[in-house]
Amino acid sequence: MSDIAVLFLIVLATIAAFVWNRLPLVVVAMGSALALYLTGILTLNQTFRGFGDPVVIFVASLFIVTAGLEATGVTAWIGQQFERIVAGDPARLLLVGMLAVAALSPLINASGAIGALMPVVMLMVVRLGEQPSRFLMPMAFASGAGAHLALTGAPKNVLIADAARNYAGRELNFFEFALAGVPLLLGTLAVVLLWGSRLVPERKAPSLPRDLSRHAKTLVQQYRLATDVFVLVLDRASPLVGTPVERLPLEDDLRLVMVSDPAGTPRLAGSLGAGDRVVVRGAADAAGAFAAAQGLKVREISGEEAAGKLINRMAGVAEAVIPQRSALIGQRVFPGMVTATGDLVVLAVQRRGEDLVGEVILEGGDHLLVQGTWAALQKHEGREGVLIVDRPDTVRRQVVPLGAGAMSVLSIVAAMVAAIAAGILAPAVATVLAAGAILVLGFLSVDDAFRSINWTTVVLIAAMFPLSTALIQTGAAQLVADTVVEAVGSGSPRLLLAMIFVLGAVMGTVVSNTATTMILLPITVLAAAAFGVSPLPAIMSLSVATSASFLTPVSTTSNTMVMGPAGYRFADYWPLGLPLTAVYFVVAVWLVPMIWPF
Amino acid sequence: MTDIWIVFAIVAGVIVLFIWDRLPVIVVCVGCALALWATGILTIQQSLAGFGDTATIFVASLFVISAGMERSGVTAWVGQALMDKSGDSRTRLIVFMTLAVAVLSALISVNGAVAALLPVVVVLAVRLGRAPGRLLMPLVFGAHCGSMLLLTGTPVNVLISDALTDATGSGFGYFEFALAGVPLVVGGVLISVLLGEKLLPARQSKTLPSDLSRHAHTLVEQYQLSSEVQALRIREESPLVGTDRRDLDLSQRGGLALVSVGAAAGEVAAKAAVGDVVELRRDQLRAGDTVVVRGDKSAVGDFAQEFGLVIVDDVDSAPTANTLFNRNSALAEVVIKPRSPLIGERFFPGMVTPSGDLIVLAIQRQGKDLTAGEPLAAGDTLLLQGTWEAMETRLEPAEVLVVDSPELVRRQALPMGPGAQTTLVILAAMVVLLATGLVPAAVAGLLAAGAFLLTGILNVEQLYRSINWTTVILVGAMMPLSVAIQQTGAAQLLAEALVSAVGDSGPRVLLAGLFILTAVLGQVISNTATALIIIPISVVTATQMGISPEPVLMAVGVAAAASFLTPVATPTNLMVMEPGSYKFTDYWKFGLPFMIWFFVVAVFWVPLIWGF
Repeated sequence: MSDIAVLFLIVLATIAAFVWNRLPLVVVAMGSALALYLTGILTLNQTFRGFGDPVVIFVASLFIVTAGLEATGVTAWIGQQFERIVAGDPARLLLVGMLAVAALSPLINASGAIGALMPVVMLMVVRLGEQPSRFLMPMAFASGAGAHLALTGAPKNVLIADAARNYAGRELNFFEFALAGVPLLLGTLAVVLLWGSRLVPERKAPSLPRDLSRHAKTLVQQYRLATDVFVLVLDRASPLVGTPVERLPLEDDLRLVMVSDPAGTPRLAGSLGAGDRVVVRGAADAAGAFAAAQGLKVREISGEEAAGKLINRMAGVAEAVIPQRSALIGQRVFPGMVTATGDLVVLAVQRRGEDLVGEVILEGGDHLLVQGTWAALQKHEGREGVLIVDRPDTVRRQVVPLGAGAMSVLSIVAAMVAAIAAGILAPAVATVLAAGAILVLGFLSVDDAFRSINWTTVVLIAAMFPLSTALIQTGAAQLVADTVVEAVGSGSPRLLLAMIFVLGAVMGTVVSNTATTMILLPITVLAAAAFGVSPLPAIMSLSVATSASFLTPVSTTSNTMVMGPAGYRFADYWPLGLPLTAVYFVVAVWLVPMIWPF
Repeated sequence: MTDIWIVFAIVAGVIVLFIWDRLPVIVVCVGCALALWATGILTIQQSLAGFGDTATIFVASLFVISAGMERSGVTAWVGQALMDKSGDSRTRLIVFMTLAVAVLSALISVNGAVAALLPVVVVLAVRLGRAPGRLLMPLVFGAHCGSMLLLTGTPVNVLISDALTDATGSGFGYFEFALAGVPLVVGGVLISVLLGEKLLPARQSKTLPSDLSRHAHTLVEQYQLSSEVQALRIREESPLVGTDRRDLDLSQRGGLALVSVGAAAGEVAAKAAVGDVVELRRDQLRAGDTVVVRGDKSAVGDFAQEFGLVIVDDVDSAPTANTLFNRNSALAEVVIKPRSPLIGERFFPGMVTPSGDLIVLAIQRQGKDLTAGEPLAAGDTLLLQGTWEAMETRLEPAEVLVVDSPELVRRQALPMGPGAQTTLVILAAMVVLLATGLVPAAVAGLLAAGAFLLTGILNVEQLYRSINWTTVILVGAMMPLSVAIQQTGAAQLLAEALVSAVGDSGPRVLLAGLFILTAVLGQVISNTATALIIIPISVVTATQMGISPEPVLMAVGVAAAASFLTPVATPTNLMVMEPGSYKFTDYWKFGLPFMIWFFVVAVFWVPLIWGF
């Protein structure tokens, strides 16, 4: 059997295994790569070369950059803005999501745009009580149309522009792609809005982020931190200024909840200063009497305000449960107490959901609310003897918009986008540098960085490279291309465009867009010359065709990226993908020759 | 010429940054690769090519194999065997321990082996009344010795074998390493036995890693499951036949509590070992089913008589812990979260959870059994029983907090768990593939990793988590540096200097020089990074001197494994620092004899096996 026949068998088997959907994707992808080596079509080095390809490094480091945005609360902030615009309407989320991803694609390319917006949309989806499957596929498809809006949208655009310069003798300017790209985007929006609800499958996402945006309020309610709670603000003239925190002269009927400095950081030790806030709980008249005696301004506190005091940029709270056999059982605690480590303060202790008043001896099953800086909470999170209900890090990411470091991460991302858009740095280099900067500045730990990378996507992209290599190297691609061009014979030039489109779209389904473009460009130019027409419309048709990769999850990186989070299966893509491909076909065959005449 | 100096500058920068230790390792490595591109020494493709190198892929796949062995309980079994076999003699314990850790680390690398045996050795130390410090450093150093037994012992072995392939066309065989490794292990055992008492501190440690190997017994004691547990078999004529298990109400029967309901022996005969009670997965009770109850003997007797049940003796005598905790049945302790949707629900011992595959064995509030019929409150503790799979997938994070994660318990406490036989078969097949050289190492590793996925021993998520990405990225990102050292002629320059320094004193002096260089660098930066820098230099030097690269590369491999002098030389040295309550200076005292022995093996023994 010839290499080409073996190769076609491997391609068929790979697609069949993908469609069957019973084997893990990584197994199928790596299996197909290994098959190419074991059948002797590729050498071992060629088989693994994909893992060192800049595109793979780009995608992996992009995940880290996205996680940096999330960790510093930028995603939470964008989410809030999204929430304002969307206003609880899923249809609006769909439209806004698609437009946003299309607008971002030319800047940070299609997979970058998906990577940046996916966490935001996931969070919104949870708040709306929807499934992400409804939104992510349309967004992935919109990112493909968005990539056709400017030269920087995809690597293949650069190849197309090169070909236009070399064969048609004409520079395509930066936004000229948009002449075809805008109709593509409008067509995509129309198809999704008209038939999307029927064609996009309902799938249950394997894991959804928990919605913790109201977490602070929930805790205020649970531990009743807003009832009978008063904030006493220290005047400069108050006799309490200079008193050590632990020697606050509180009467028996008032209990200390917390002391914080004017910025909101809990004050655990040291002396009280002017502007400090002493939060106490007790009867209103007792609080009033104490305030009058000590020269304090008294304010009642609302639930909203209490929540803001609990969780802000500097500090947060964590809820901890004492399990059986814990070393902490038998210890004495009281609200307002500073823990033995000196960096956390106990705000409240409950047993079976009921408040415990005054000093208590801890028992198994008690739950406590402790407050401290985010760093302190994170440090004690893994401690033995307590179970943490919600990870402080998870809470902070969702609840605190634009937390510490948000501005730095935003500048890093801005620099990265600028460097890519201006062509100063290769995308892989720019994203690796951005990811490195985020790690070095400590906005993300190395472990969190590894956890944030969707390895299935990375491995899938890397493992599909050898297939492209083999298609080109064995001459299989050439064979297909030649056959099709022959079939056109002497029909109209539009028939040629149609054939090029079909070829590009079919090949683009299994091979990367860049590879497809590379294989088909010479054939396209030669065929146009043989017809005696300008190569420009043919080249642009090819450009549209290679963007039309909607039929399978492995057709483009964006398609792959949304597969796992939304829980799509292999065969979920073509129902919506087919009408979109038809739209692209119309643009490629009828619209393109009107803009760039033969 | 300038390129060479740029490469030297990059090497120096990398070493300084590694020693400074304030930047994440991966930032330094990837930065090194980018620096090679930015200075124009390599193209971007070349500087990233290391990630697609076969050695990188193989190293990654080794982590997966290690995780598969851990998860299926093969490593826990080794620990268990060590516990059973070691007895009370110190010598015997050290010999067995060193051999066990050496063999394990040869198969699954130093990190995996030490992590697996550390808790066991701590327990052994406590049981024998010795300071953990007397055992832990011999454990780690034994693992370093053992890593030279097989190709799979450390990434360095893979790198030197690859380098040999590049230089001569064929690499070191899978078992060939043992020719140097066996003397290292034997020497290591002798040093530990003879000098251990004198050179190791006997401090008591404050923090010991949590030991879950007796987890089941702890739980049985906490929930008093062993006191007065009786199994009753339902007779044909019993009025219970045909009733719903949920209607089994024991609350009026003098403090009797239902522990579990087991299926009739015939249904599960194939799977159940003697004395196992395999949980019922249907609602209707049938003749032959077993009802396990807890309570006063006379109350049990009354109950049995009234409902036509036979008291089964053998379950009573079998330890309850083993009945409830084995490869088919897991126990998990969970706490009801504040604001959990389960608050206010009425649960009772013996009931099946709403998800349908977990059984509530006991409910406690503040260490005492919850009164029957009382609604659940936040902080109540439930003991659940079910299959391992159900335990890992069914516990709803919105409802309960799991006290000890089933995955962790399973790894430490369940020797030869589900899939252990399959794991051993996969491992054996991989060893055969590697030993015969039928396929390249990376392909064998990938096939084994794929087999773990396909047999369900690991899922995709666990597979990714098991890979130590820092090591993989280090190998991938530093490999271009190796290439650049060779390509630019930097290796040539250094090799010439080395050759002229060695002069006429013979190749053994070269080995000694390379050993010292590698070992010194290896104490402060990662062994793998050291090897990537030294390997190209040593290959070129060997060529220049007209000697075979085999002994030179093997000596470098031995030197790279000799990480004995500081706690920061390898992650495993650091891992035992706290449980052994070692000080920084304890390492070199005990490490020096090892270092001398490694030197002797590298310089005098290695050339006897692989001639110049």
